Parts: sequence; structure tokens; C-alpha cells
Amino acid sequence: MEYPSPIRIVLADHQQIFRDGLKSLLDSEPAFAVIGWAGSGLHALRMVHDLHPDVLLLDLTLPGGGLNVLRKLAMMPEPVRTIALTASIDQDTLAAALQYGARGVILKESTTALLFKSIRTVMADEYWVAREDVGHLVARLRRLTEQSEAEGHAKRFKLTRREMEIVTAVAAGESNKGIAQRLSLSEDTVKHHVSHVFDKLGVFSRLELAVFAINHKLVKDMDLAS
Amino acid sequence: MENPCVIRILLADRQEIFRDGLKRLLESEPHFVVVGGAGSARETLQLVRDFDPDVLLLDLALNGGDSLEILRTLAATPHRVRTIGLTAGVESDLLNAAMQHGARGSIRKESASALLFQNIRTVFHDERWICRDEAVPALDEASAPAPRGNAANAKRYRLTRREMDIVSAVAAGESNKGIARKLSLSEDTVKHHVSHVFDKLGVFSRLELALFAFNHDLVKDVLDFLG
Repeated sequence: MEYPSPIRIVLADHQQIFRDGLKSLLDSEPAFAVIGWAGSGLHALRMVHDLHPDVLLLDLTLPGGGLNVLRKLAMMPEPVRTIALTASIDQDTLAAALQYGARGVILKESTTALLFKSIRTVMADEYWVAREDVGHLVARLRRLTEQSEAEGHAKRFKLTRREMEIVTAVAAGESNKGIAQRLSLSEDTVKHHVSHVFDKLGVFSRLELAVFAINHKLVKDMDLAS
Repeated sequence: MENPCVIRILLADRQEIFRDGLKRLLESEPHFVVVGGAGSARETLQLVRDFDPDVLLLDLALNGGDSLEILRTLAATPHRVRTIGLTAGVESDLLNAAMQHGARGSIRKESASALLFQNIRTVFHDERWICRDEAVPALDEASAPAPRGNAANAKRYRLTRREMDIVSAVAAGESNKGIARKLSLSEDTVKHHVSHVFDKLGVFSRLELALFAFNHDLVKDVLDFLG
């Protein structure tokens, strides 16, 4: 009879009882086979390197740091599909895990059925993220995109970060006095910055500066509304 | 007939994956039976009432102070259940509080499983000394396939523990349905295992498998399984 080859899994978790239980659970399914296990980041990396599993289940609170393991895994010649299986996670860590190469993140509080599903999903080269986290990730992506766009433009005109702040403020209609107050600078310093910015951008008035800023996408239109 | 040497265990932990895994792990040990799993204080107390377990494995991090509440309630009522508290990391305050509230033992989730098994037996035998002749299984879990029956022979045919269970069951005349029920598996999973075992041993029928098993000493105590 044709026997489908099981998905080969390595477990990395420092709670031995949890790990042994998970091993029992996965091994009782013909679709899965646990081929190795580790209790630390170092051992996890060695296991992956030696055994080339299909999937790695990685607890992010592993001694040595789960995120570190992900970073190191990304540098290995042969990739392994990693699912972060962890007790709890905040949005920053979730984003970092995905950025470092995790194919999925699933909480230990999930159902067993969902865990099995996540393993099969990443094996099909798809990603696994809880539905309620998708919104946060999209928002984060948007912010990052805006930030890097603005930074790109600022670089083009050789504006410093402080000068960018001034541009935004002037384009929003703030007075030198107002800017000075908000950024905790002296009014003279602000005037100095404004002058410098005029020179760098080749403009001669605050209005020109505002128009320039919008046209060259140094500020978002929305910023001006405030 | 109820086996007086069976230790009936109830699991209480928020994580279903932990509970399911622990259940499989415990039931691969002789004499351990998991009667249920609870994810909240209310469920735990309900299941203690329903099943009257011998031992309760209680996650001390169960929703806020819930675990201590459970211990208090159990101490106040005439339940014979012995509780072992489970913690993650080093939470000595929680462990101390649990012991003060009546927990019989405690163990960190980072500990070896063998230690947990030992804790369970110790706590159980405290109450029921009639099981003293129970053999303590080997604590060496290093070799992955550690089957019941003849270990050396099982290794030769590369049978896993689960597959050894299947061999014993088939040799005892159990149907796939019966095996599925006994081992808490789906019938499909059992069919897969049986198929795989047929392949590994080079046999083509259940009768052949039974004969092979007896002739090659793969089944020690068929009665073990029939009981």
C-alpha cells in the first residue's frame, strides 16, 4: 500500500514536559514524524543543520532567544520552514519574527487541530498568521512604507532629520515661534534652520517651501490639514 | 473489572496543545489513564466531581489566582484527589502558595518527563499502597523506539512504540475499530499503522501478523492488552 512520507519535524522548546508531550502528539499522527528536539537555541540550530527537517516548531522564549535563532536560520544555505509556537506574543515580536523569516506564528493556547493545520499550511509554502493579527501587520507595513519613502526623498535633498522636521512644520503653517516652542529650540535656532532649508531647496518663501514639499513628496498632504 | 493499579489522572491547563500532548505522553506509560482535560477553574472542579480522579495535574498559572482557588475548594470538600502543581520557570512564590493550599507535589514544566511520572506515582502510592509490586519502568528514554514486549526484536524490525501496540492488539484479535477506541485514535490512523506494520514485517494478513508476532517474540503478554 502507498504510504505517504510524513512531514519531518524538529521541536525547539525548553519546557521538556511540553516538548515530550508535543512529540507524543505529533508522532501519533501518521502525517508527522518528530525527528529531533532541542532545549536551547544552540541545539536547535545544530539539529536543523544536521537533520534538515521540513518544519521547525520554535518557542520564541528559548534560551538564546527565538528571534536570534530565526536570524541565524536565515543565513543557512538550506532553508527550513519555521513556525513560532509560543505562549504569548506582542505585535513587535510578531512582526520581527516574520521579518526574520518565520513562516507562521501560532500561540500555544490554540487548538491541536489548528496546530496541525498550520504545519500543513507552511508545508504548502503558505504563511500562517492569526486572523486578528493581520490588521496590525498591514498598518505596520503602511507606516514603514511611508517612513522609508519620506527618508528617501529627504536624502535626495540632503536634509537632516531636524531639517525635515522644520520643513514639515513650515509646510503645516507653523510660525517660527510655534516651531521653537514645540521642538524646544530657541527662535533663533529655528530661523537658522529655516534659512538653511530655503538654501538647500532653492526656495525663497514659506509658501514656496510648502508647495515644494508637497510636490516632491517630502510631506503628506494630510499633514497640512492639522 | 476496574484495575486497582490504574492511576486516573485529570489535567488542568489553559493550553490545549499541552493537555493533548501530556495525555498521549502519560498514556504511553503503563497504569496511567487520563480521564479528562480542563482549561478553566470551573471546568476543573466540574471534572473532579464527575470523574473522581486519583491525581490532578494543575497548571498553577491558570488564569490569575484560579489555581489557588481550586486548591482551596478541593481542600474544603472530601475529595481524595491529590494535586500536583505545574509551573513554568522559577516561580517559587506560586509553588509555596500551592503547597500551603494543599498541593501534594509540584514540578516545573522544564523538568524531565520521567520526573513527572515519578511524582505522580509517589503522590498516588501515598494513598494506595496496594500497588507496591508495580514495576517501575526504565527511566532511560534516550532510545527513541521503546516498545512493550521484546525491545531487541522490535528494534530489529524497526517498530515504533505505537506500532508495537498495534501488533499486540492485532495478535489479541482486536478489530481496527476496537483498537481505535482503546488507543484513542481514529480508525483511519489505525488502518495506516496496520498497513505500515504489514509492510515492515512483510506479512499480508492479520493472521500472518499474529503468527509472526508470536514466533518472533514480539508480543510478551497478550493478556496485558486484553485486560
